[in-house]
Amino acid sequence: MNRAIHRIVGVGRVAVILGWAAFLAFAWYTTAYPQPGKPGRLGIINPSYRWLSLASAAALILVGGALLPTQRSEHAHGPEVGGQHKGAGDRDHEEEETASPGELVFQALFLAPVILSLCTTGSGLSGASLSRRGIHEIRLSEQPGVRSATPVPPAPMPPPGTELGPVQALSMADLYDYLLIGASPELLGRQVDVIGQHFLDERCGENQFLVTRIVVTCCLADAEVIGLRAQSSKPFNPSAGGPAARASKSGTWIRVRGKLRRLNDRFGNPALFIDDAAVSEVPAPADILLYPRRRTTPW
Amino acid sequence: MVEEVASSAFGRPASFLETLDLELFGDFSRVLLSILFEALPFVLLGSLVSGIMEVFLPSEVLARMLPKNRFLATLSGALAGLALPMCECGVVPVMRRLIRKGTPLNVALAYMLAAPMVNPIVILSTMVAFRSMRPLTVTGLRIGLGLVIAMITSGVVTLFAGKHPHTISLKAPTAGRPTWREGSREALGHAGRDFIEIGAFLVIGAAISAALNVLVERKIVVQFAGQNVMATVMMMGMALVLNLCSEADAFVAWSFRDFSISSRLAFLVLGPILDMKLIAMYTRVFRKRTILILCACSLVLVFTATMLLSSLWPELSKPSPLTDAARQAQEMRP
Repeated sequence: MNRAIHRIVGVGRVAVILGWAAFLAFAWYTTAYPQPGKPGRLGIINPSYRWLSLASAAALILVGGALLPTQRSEHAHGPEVGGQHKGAGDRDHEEEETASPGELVFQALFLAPVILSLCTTGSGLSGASLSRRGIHEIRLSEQPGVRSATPVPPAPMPPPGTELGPVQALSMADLYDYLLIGASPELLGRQVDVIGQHFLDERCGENQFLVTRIVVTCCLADAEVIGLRAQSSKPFNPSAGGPAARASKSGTWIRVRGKLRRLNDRFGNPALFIDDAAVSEVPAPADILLYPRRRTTPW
Repeated sequence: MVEEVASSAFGRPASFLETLDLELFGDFSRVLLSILFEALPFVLLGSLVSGIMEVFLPSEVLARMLPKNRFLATLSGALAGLALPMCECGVVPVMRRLIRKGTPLNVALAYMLAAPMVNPIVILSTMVAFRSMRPLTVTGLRIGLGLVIAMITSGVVTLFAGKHPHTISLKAPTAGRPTWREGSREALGHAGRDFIEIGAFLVIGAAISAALNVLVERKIVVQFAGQNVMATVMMMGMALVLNLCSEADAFVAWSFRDFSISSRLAFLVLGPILDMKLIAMYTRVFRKRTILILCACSLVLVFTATMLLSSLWPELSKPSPLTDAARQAQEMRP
């Protein structure tokens, strides 16, 4: 009976370890080589840490492999109590004695997230979750020269009459620090070109909306939502020309271009706005999360 | 309010029941997986180190390395993270193995509590994260408070946890040394068992944390940012719920710009010592009584230390002056 339990528990251990190894390798693969329209499984953590999943998968294969012959030798000899611990298989007997059917529960529990992950896709958060987290919106600071940890690029000097390109304009990543500390008056008049999700709140007046992005430092657990108000001369209707389903969904991906100005919201409070915003619907970027410490992330 | 915003976001009324739908379940599973993707590689690393220690590090060597003086031994345990850097997930299996090899509880505990803060990677990441806001002060205080709290907590736990504070059976010295090949296989085997045992409890802790993360409104936390005592309590609560890796938590602490430095220090010091996943993982090492003492002691000490610090150094308890404008704007809201 004991031997049967040991065998089941031992096989379970190997299965759990190799299961996680396969899952981590799969998650890395889907992220490194994403299919169009399907975000990678590791799209929920900072790209700087993604290689760890592949390294862990390789290490787990080694660990699982090491457990296999141990189990085999144990099956051959059977668990001996009180013997001299000299061989690799024998050395494990001390711990094997603690193997119990209860361990199978832990093994199942440990594998549960792998199974759970097969039922879920995507890498962002729902609108309800975004609302619960609250949106950090960029605010105006009365102090000139607010110091940012990562200063925004100097204002470009375009020839008169020419439009600023997206490279010269400020992106959401450029504005990240200012979203937290408040925009200094020097930012007023700067051209911005941002991609984000359309969002409405109670402060939005007619033709006003928020462009939002989910910012992640470490993983989705620390996600915060940043937003920039915008005002357009024309009402933006995400459903116009699109499938009917989109009409009921906010969170539509949009590109907004315009200049930063001080305008009033619905309640007459001054706020920083992208004024006279040119809005267009765009497909979701490959990586919908924004990583403020990675300046290579566009927008 | 939440329903109103959600309603405006989706263009339809959103009741509480409606928000508890599949989308929320999807959010929960994504947050859970993100915590696991972050933490599991470090648990595996800790398990591998633990396995290597089990096979290749004789107990006598450990005993010889430790000073005889109890205080110095605890201090050396607390500083051991400088030589053997580990984040809070990886340190649990290592500490478990240290106890099994006969390391005194106070030393192993001091290492477990301090190593996630007092290690070169975390020191560097804290300095980089706070580079625009007193980097030396914040990093120095984090290390200092971390060391002191780890040492006091380990002392208190050792003193009051009774005769059987943990569930680990001490390992009897084995005859002979294994060959390199045999030992490697054995070390990997130990690592595998540790990984599953600790990992299962990591999943439990991460699931609780993910549920709270998705359901709790952040506005509840942020509204107390201006009150020093409540801000500290809220930041400690955030540390418990967010389950962040100590190597990255400084960047998150930095982003809480509405909060004072002292309350953010509470977040930075408590997080590596105590959070939901760690409490679950501790159950594989300690008895209930020990965990209760450890939790109570670390919570009280972190709170007291940060309050004391803010009364001695009032500047640290003030919200950043850069956020005053933002606060005024917030107050102007109807």
